[in-house]
Formats: sequence, structure tokens, C-alpha cells
Amino acid sequence: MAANVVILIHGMGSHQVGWSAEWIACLEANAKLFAPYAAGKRELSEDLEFVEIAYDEPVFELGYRQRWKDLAGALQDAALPAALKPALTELAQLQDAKLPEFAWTHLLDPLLWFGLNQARQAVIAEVGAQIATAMVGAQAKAANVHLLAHSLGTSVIHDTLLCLAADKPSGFDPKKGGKRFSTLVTVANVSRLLNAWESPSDKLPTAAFKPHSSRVRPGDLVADFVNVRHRSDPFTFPRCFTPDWSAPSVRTLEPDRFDELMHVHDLATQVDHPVVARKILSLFTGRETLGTKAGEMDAAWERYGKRYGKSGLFAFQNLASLLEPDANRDLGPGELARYLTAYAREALA
Amino acid sequence: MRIWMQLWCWMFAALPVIAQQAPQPPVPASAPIAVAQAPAPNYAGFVATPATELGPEWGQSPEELRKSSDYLALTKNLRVARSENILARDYVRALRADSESLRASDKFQDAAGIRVLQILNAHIAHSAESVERLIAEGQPADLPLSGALASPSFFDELWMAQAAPDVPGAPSAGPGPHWEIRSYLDGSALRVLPYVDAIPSAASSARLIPTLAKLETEDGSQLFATYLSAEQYFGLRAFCDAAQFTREAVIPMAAIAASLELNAQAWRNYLQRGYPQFPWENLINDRLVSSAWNRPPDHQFVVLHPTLGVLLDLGSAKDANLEPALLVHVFGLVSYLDDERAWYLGGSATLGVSSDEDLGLAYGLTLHGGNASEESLMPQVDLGLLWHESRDEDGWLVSVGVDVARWLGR
Repeated sequence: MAANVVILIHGMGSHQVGWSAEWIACLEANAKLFAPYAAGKRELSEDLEFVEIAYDEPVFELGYRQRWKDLAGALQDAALPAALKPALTELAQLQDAKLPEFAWTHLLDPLLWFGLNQARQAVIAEVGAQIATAMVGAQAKAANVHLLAHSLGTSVIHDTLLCLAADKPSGFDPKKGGKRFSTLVTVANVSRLLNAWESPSDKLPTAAFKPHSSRVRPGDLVADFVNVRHRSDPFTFPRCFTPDWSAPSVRTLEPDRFDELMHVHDLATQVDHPVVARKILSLFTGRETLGTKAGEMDAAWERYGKRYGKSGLFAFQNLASLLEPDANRDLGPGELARYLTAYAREALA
Repeated sequence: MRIWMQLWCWMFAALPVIAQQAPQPPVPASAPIAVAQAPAPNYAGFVATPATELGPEWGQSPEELRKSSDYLALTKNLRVARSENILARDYVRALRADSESLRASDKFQDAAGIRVLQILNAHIAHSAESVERLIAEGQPADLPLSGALASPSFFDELWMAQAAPDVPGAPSAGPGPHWEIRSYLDGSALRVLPYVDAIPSAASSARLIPTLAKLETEDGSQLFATYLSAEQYFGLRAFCDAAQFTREAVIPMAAIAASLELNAQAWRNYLQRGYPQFPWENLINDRLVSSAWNRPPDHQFVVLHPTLGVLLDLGSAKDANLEPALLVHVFGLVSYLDDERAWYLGGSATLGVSSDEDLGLAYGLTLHGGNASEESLMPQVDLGLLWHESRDEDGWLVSVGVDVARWLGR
């Protein structure tokens, strides 16, 4: 019976039930580099129980994308007045040519989260409910609860933790008798970029949602906080999450290698870094000695080197130039949409 | 099909940019971590002892810790007392009893061990003091722990491992050797009561018990220093583990999860099966209708909402000819009638045109109704009464629209 529950929060893009299999496989593969998981002596699943959170399908897919498709489809299929049909057909063909599937399935998610407060609120409601359900199980087995979030999920979990603590203090505010999450690991943290510009909560002002000063920090809503950021990840160029918390500190790890440029934002590209993997797994499992046996890190570096042979700090410099003169400034919804579209063009080229 | 995405982006781009342009320092370039020259710092009165290798106690998972017979012996009182209804006084009593078990073992006789017990007992004394104060102020003598925790004047430490604050050479202190110190107990949980008792100084570090210092270089090699013996670490970890989960057992998590699920279900009803919204309606309702994450919108506006329907000319009702038509609900309002955001009812001003050009343009009012709950068989229904003026004759039309896709269970 695992005494650690790891809640996984996905990023942008289509995620249906079972989406976390890839993440779990990545963590398990890395765990096998270190005792006691090496050589099949112990399985990671004996120490960690994974719970996946899925907010894309109930909110973005079924709440927005599918409804818009249904509405548009019904109009196109109908026996409409002849004069209206060419206009609708032309519009439909126009967008198919100009907007690749990637924009529809991926880039729309952060735009909805950032631009529509109702979408943000619905996601928080969905994620909050799923986390609470996971915590019922964790409470029954006296398990520590850890959080692993990627990309858009880092912003989602940030706001969700704040809302839960403010509105359900008996459950989620550790200073009022609630649960404190043991570890928060954010990979490709975009919580500053997608910062709420209107509070999703009745109880908290908008200022409470600023990631550098919010309660989502070690010693408050979470005990430990690890931030992982790939140095070439263009999603972390604007408004990079770099808190200056004097005490206690947040640990930022910055891998810089990749296999394909398209993958610099991926969770696996960043978590496969030996130092990152060891740090995360050590916190999740509670094993302080993970990766200290002779030769373990050497083997891990060798595997990493074979898999991720490329390195370059100048990737996506065109995108970086879009943010000049100040990459730290607030971006409006329109600016964000343009930046994401530029990324899609460059990444898909 | 993705026309809405494009329209949506256009609308976003048209919004005023909310950039504040506040000048902020650029993100500093990442500096390589230097090889440590300085030894691990002594911390909170504990002496750091360099370690080339850590014993097996440091590598145990919580499951392995809990299976140990020593764990069972050291945490007997806290484990037995663990219950969602535990009283505050019983919780404190169990903390005291198990800390006595630590004291009785022969592992806590050196300076570090004595100091660990001092800090633990000071925390427990403080908790006891705050419980007694609450009772003296009018709370019942059998005050449940859940009630005490809900009170802002109850003092309780969080008994879980974490990175210690105020660490010399920590990452926030800039480039150089970065020692990370693991610790137990948490000074940030201190609330109202002033800190007194056996621990000198008001420094936050005086309330923490450091266990292990780690320094990691960029290539992954690590240096260690310990503040406690392996046996002391085991005992402290066992005590804190048992205390943490005895305290957390009182959280009414099942009830909280049930209420959050109802809230999420209401949002699903509203977004997935409520009165459908085009992208511009999503944007308008987002701006104009009040809501919060735990308070889904209870109404929505209908704006320039094209939909399909059929028209029945009441002037020639005997023929019962139904004409397919495009209906545009120019402006309207839909209200949700319950907390679940299931039943909704509303109305709109509507324009209608059909493929039968003889009917001409029709205008009038439409009623919207439906049930958005997942299990409901009631589809969205639009029923309108429209006036049309055509070349031949004017007259009344009835418009009907049904969400057929949902009815057929798409």
C-alpha cells in the first residue's frame, strides 16, 4: 500500500482518460536507474500511487470545442436559404487552410484559460473536485500527497490550490488544520505568463494570484517546491517564473539538452535529466539516499547523453526577440495569442 | 469547423492589451554551481557532521518506516488515538506519551538528542497550552481536535519534512555552494500565541529540527552532512509521521470531496449541456455574468445566436407544412433554476428566414427551455411565435427548435 500519492496535472492539448501512462513510464524508467528500483528489486508503484487529473476533456473539449463544432456543424448541414450557404462554406474552408489542427487542439487551451474567467473557474472546479477525491483515498491510507504539473497545468494547479485553501479552509489550508501538500513539482512553469487578470474566487483578490507572491510556496500551502525549466523552452521565455523567495527557497533545475527541438517543452525531456529525476523521485518516495550508490549517476548520465544529444541556448531566438525589450512585462490576451501562433508556426515548420 | 477558433482569436486580439509595462529586472542568466568549498553549516543549534555515506535509515520509504517494529513501538499512542473524532486533549496526550517513548529510548541521550526532545516538548506544551486556553474561553472540555484546528488561536505545528528556511548558502542567496537542509516541524504554522517555553530566541530556525544537509553540484555529485544520528533520525521521523497523520485524520475530506463534486457537476451542466453558446456569447457572458469557481453562472445572455428550426404557418395549419428555417436569437436571457444548473428557462427576440421565400422575414419571441443534467432525456427546446410579412399575406408562424444531437445521445 503506497504511502505516497502523486497527483499528475497535464498541460495543454487533448488529454483523455489514461493520458498519464507516458509520464508514469518516464518516472518508472528513471527510477530503475537508482536503488532500490534498479534490477527489478522493487517497483516504483510499491511506493507511489499515481492519480491523473483530467480537465481538458470536461472543460475545454466538451465545454467549448465540441459545442462550437456542434453549433457550426448544424448550421452547415442545414437546408439553409441558398444565399447564406456560400458564405458559410467559404468561412469554413478559410479556417481549415489557415489554422492547423495543432492550434485547435493545443493553443486554444491556454487562450481559453487565460482569456475566459469562466473557463478558468470551471477548470479549477474540475481539478479541485478530482484532487479532493484523490485525497479521500490518500487520507484512508495516511499517504503524503505530492503534485506534479506540466506547462498549462502549473498555472492550473497554482490557482486551484489558492482557491481550495481560501474556500475550503478546513481541508486545504494547513494553517487552519487542513492538508499540506508534501511536494509541488512544476515543469515548464507558465503560471506567471498565464496569471489571472481577474480573480476566479469570491474570497481572494486578483493580487493573491500572482505566483511570485502567492501562498503557493514552500512553507505555506506546500512543503517542498521544485521548479524545472528547460533553458530553450519558448513557453518559459515570457514572464519566466523566477521567484525571489528568501526563505525557504524554491529549487529551480534547468536542463538544456534535447533530442528534437519540438520536444524541449515536453515533460520527459526535462524529467529525464538525471539530477531532475533523482530530485523528484527522492522527494516523492521519501528516500534521501536515492542515487547515492557508486556508479548510479554515471549510468544515468550515459543514458541521458545517448537520448538527448543536442544542446543549444539559441533555439527559438526569433520568439525571444518578439518579447523585447522586456520579457517580464504582462502580456495581454492578444499578445499571448500572437506569441503562441508564432510558436506554432516555428515549431511546425 | 474551426472557424470559431479563428473568430475567437480575432476577438482576443481586439481586446485592449492589459500590459502594465512595469519595469522589472531581466531574468538573470543561470550561473554554474561552484564546487562547495564551505562545509555544511551548523543550523539551529545543531552541529553538522560530514557524511560520506548515509545509512539505510535515510533511504527508507514511509511504508518501510511504518513496517518497522521500532516504529510501531514508538508511535503506539498516536496510532491508537487516530480517529476523525479524536479530542484535542487526547491528541496532546498522545503526543506527550509518544515523545516520552522517544525519551525512554537510549538514542536521545547526547546533545543533539536532548535538543530534539526539548524542541518537540516545547511544541507539545504550546499545543496543550492553546487547547486549555480555548477551553477556558468557553469551548467544551471535550473539544474535538477538528474544532481546535479550526480555531485561529490553536497552535499546532506541521509534523512533516520540508526544506528548512533561512539556510545559509541556499539558492536564493545567489551563486555558490547551495546547501539544502531537510528539517521537521514548521515554524510558519505559528499563529497567534507568542512563542515561549524552553526554546530560546524567536528565530524561526529555533523551532525546527534539521536532519540532513545536501549539496548537489551540477554534474549530480552530492555532499552530505547529518545533524542527527541515524537512530535519532528514525525516531524523529516516526514520531512526526504518526503525529501528522493523526492530525490529518480529522479533516472531513469525504464531505469536502462530495461538495466539490457537486460544484464540478454544476459547471459541467452549464458548459457541456446548458443553453449552447457561440464563441462571442462565451466572451460576452464571461464579461457580463458574475461567477466564481465554486459558483457557476446562474444565467446567461443570448446574443446573435443562429440556430436551426422549423416554421409552421398558422394561416395554413391544415397543410401542416413545416419549413426549415434559420432562426437568429438576436438578444435574450436564459436563467438556471437550481443549484445544479440543470433546469433552465429563458427567452429571446428572434428573427427567422426559411427557404420558402414567400414567407419572407419573420420576427417575434422565442422561449428556451431544457434540462442540462447528464441523465436527463429532456433536450433543449426553443418554441417561438413569429410574425411574418410576405408578398401574399402576413400572419403568425410557430418556430420550433430541438437539440436533436443531444436527444439522440451523441
